[in-house]
Amino acid sequence: MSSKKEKNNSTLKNDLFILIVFLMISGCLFIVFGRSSKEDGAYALVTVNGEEYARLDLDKDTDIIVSTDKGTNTIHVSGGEVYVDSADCPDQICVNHVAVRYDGESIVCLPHKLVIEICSEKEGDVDAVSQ
Amino acid sequence: MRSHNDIISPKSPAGYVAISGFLVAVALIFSYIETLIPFAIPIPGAKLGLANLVTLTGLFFLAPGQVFIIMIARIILSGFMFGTFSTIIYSLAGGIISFAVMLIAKKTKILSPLGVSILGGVFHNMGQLIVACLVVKSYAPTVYLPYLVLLGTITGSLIGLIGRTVDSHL
Repeated sequence: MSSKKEKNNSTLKNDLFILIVFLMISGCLFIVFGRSSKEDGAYALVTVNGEEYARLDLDKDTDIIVSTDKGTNTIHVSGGEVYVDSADCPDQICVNHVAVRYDGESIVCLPHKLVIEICSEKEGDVDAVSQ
Repeated sequence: MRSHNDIISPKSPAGYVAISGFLVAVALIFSYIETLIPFAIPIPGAKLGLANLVTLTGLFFLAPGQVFIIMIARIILSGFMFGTFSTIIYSLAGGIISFAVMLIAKKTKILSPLGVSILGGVFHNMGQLIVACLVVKSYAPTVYLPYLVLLGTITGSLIGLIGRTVDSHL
């Protein structure tokens, strides 16, 4: 048994190295992903199955019901924030998700293939200004 | 050398089936126990991965092919019992990637079950994230990347600590 113990001690160092490396990687990822997302978004892009379903202006308080063959999600916009009010998906991850408001944030409902992404620029704005 | 190999993996087909069936049953019980643990983190795919303990320990005692079959059987059965069809797809993607990574990590012989399990945990979550991106046809799920790497590291460490203890007692 003693040889096994020695082996365990030498591998433990490598294990801890792996642990520290992955903790550092996740730390770096948190910094990289967290940095650019403190600007209020302009609209929420709702896509179902990769295709655009709706654009919700964050300045206007609205409720929309997204119903597809997979199920229904009720999306609520108020005070520049978006959240999923209710959904009939099995995991309820989208409903439990905190409200999103900053550029680049998103809520994903995997069972319904629904993605809500906050975007900062209104693509229509360029045309509106040039007119 | 590891004399227990003679006991735990008999060459006979009956022994092979018996060990495999027993370990699938153990893994399914772990899957069931896991459904009893409330783990309310609003991140898709975040869970403890207790059943991975069987895959992890198996890698150190059994032939890789047998461990792979046990894992696939466990994922499909637990998917039908405790999940949905999509659960099976996510678990299969995560399971196969983490199995490949853990097998390579184990073969290097420089890691104990703890290190192998951390790698497995992280890459399991990566596999699920890739499938999530394919399902919604968007890169949006990658916002969860930092959380999934961190959670994979933590859950992998916990399972790995148990795996290390199991390994040193078998």
